[in-house]
Amino acid sequence: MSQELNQTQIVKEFLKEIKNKLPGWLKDNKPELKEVLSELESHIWEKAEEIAAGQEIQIVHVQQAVQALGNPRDIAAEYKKRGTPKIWISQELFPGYIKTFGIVVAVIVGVNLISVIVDAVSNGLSWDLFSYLDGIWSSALGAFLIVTVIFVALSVEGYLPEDFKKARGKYQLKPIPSEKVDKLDGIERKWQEKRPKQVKPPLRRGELLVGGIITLLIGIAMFAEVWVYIPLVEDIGLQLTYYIRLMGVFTIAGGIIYLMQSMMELTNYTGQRILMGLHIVADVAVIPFTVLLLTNAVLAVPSIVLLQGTNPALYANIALGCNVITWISVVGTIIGAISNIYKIVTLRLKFEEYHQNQQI
Amino acid sequence: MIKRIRPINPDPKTDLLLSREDFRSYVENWESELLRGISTLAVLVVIDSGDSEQMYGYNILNELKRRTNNMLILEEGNLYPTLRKLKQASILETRDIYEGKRKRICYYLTPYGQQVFQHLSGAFSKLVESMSDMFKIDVNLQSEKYIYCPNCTMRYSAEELGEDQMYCSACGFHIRDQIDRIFGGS
Repeated sequence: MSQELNQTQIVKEFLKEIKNKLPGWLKDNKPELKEVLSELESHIWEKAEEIAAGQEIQIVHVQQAVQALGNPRDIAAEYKKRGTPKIWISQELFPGYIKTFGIVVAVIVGVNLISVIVDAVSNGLSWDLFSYLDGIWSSALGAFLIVTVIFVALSVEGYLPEDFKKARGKYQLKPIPSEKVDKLDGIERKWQEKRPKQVKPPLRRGELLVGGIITLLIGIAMFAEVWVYIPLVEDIGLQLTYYIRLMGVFTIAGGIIYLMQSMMELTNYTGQRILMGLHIVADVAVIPFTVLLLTNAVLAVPSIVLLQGTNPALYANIALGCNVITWISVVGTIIGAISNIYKIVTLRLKFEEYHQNQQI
Repeated sequence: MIKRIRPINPDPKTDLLLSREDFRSYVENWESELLRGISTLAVLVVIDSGDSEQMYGYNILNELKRRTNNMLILEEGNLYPTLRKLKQASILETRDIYEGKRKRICYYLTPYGQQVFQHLSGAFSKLVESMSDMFKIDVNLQSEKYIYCPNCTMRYSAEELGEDQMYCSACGFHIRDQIDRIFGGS
């Protein structure tokens, strides 16, 4: 009995090691994962039986069978070889890569264009075109590097576009044409109503990835002092610059955490919970800087301070606006943190509910 | 293949080619490149010609060894990802077969997979034949049993060809004359 238990233990440990090294898209697909592991397990026992040559299987036979199968890292790596190689990014992911980069560049150009227009309106035609072009160029270069690194990593892991598509319930109802509704008898209608409600997974890889890229870009923009290109707030003083750059650091950390979550197995509850916890810490750490930033904005930004003498009513409104924004962002961050704590606590439960729904 | 070969060196002073690290690694790399495509086709051959209730991973490996006289041996851990990829490409499908408590996942070719297989085996056979003269070997395409589309090399066996088949199902090339010439027809 103990001998048998040890054999099973060896196989289980080996399969666990393979499972840990498998790519995220495969680990997310529970039925596929189950089949892959069951196939490997079946192979080990067949091989052990062959090695035992008709005798009772001993631990040494199982060990030899496991060794013959190969290194868990190499076996898992074979499952990552998906997609058609094209430079560093797979051919399948390439359109998505171009699209993502295009969207990011469009946002960068859009933001810079708005600041050009505002500057042109306030300063006439004296604005420096080259500094704006330089701003677009440096931001686009940064975005290019980040987006490329992410897509290369996804290609290496063997992701395909369909791995990011939203999971759809197997028995999702098609809308019934109104003229046919009356024809349905009572039993059928009741049966239709009883069909399971679609349950969403608590974490989605695509959302985490997009969230990570956006958060990372915002963080980099804050750290790189992009506001120097925006008229009226280009000179905000050393203290506010320091606060914004620190907020940028926490935002970058948040973006990296999102990306790490997207690369990790979504049902690795411990890992995801730790990262979600760290994300809450990064979010909450921003609160004091938000308060300091917004309360000091009316005292430190020269263009706002100037209004104190020239247009006191507008100055008072800006001060009030800053206060309101401060409270909204503080309350928003706290609510977000509480909601994330709830998400951490219910993560396993929600995923189990989702998987049960998928199996119906 | 070379991974399994150990140099037999009766005289330690002899400088055998297989003892050289650079030679070994060069040949090993070449072999793994060559086998990458061939092994997929060989797996399909085994699945196509075997009993569909016995075509589970372990048995496929053994069949492959047996039918190639231990020349084409896939790394055990590499077979399963290959089978998964073929399934994802809709070339293979699976069914669970139970032997006692043990579940075996058996593979079989889908109708689409059957056509892919005919095309790949046709292309491979014609390629080997075209190179046979270069390597001074004889290759028999068994033209009394099979015809190959002159345009795309799709392979058809005599049993599979319909009475009224006029065109190649892969490229649309007119193959009726070819069929009549080989199998005889009106």
